[in-house]
Amino acid sequence: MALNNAKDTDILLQPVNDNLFHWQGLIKGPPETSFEKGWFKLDFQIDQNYPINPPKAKFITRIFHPNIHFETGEICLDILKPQHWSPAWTLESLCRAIVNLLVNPNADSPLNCDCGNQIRAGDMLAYRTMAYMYTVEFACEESKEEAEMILMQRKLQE
Amino acid sequence: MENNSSDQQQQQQDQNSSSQGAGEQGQDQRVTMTQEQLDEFQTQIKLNEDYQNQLKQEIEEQMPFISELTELSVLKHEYQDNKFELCFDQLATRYSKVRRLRRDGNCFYRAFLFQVFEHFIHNPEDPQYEQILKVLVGSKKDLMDLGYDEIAIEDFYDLFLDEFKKLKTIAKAKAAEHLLKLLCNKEEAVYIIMFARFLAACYLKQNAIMFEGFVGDVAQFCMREVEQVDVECDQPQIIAITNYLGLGVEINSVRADGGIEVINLPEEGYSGFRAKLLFVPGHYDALYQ
Repeated sequence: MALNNAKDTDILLQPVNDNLFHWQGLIKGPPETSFEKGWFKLDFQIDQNYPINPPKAKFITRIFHPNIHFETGEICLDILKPQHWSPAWTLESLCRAIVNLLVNPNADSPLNCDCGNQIRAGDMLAYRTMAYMYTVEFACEESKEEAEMILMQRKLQE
Repeated sequence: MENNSSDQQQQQQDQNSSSQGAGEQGQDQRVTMTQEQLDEFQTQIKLNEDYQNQLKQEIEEQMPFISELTELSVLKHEYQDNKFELCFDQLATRYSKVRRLRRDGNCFYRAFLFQVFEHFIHNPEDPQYEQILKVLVGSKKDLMDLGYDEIAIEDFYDLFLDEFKKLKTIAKAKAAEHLLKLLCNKEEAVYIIMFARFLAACYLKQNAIMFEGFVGDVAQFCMREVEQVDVECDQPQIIAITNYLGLGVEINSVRADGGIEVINLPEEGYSGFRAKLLFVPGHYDALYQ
């Protein structure tokens, strides 16, 4: 699939069970954030009208972030809404936008209330500690192994 | 002592915030929302969006994407007792018919493409055709040079180019029938209009310095106001797409005093084809003699 930019080792995309309407993404926690050590699994559902319609995206790996729902993995990101989506985006550039959201949380439109409140109250230490704790708990084992496996397979193919 | 004074400050702040507007208070409440309340809030927002989408669809279904040729007097009748009513008398001295466009945010692009494509079906030997074809062929590279992913643009590019090439093979008598089919649906027409948006964005980004003063950050502007499906078109986008393709438009803009202001883009030094459009604030229709 040409959809994967082989040079990109922080964003890994592949269809689930060869179904081109269902994709899985693995993104590496961006450096110098509380998510740095983890790999986060994302789920993308694409409908017949993609790329005119945006994909439905959610986190599978649990993450503590103001704009991501702690239970459902729903993401509050403007470009995922039909009125803000542009067909110029790809799944890959969407992943980059999500990585950017991890670097720049926006506490003014929270989906995770507790997390939003910590940031709004200016308690960045509490936010970072919690985010780090959940990264270690949820994003450093299964998803990380899967990502390392994909990267290794790629190297072997080269 | 220090504690005391900061307490007072706090009190002062509390008083201030309680005397501020409802918007501020709304935000303050959100700080203390529980997750359940927040989820409920999100559900409400979604319901609201669904309702707006439903409204939009209802508006859409009342009007075809592009109408058959209609007498200009029909439009005048609709603007009866409106400040723009008299504009149509002046317009009627130069035009007699109009194709009306659906108000779905794509009216400019759809009207412009319809008239341009129609012109080349009727005038296949016009040397402008080959010039535009050359620009279109090169547009994929232009877009990729600006950082667009090939995968993101190629479906749009291929379809637009194919349809542009096909224009030469369409019988003149079938022009309207062909174009009404091509540009009036929710499948290929969406792709064709989308590619026209990419072409506008391409010129805007290539000439960012020229546009910055008017639209601010050009990349942001393209993302918000050009490349989204169904987002309305303003003068910068019109300047961009006409310049990129080497085409022209004549916009007949209604004036509140009952007159018509004719805006030619490009203004001068251009003798090629101009799409003839009527502009009533917020909407474009296509004009015919």
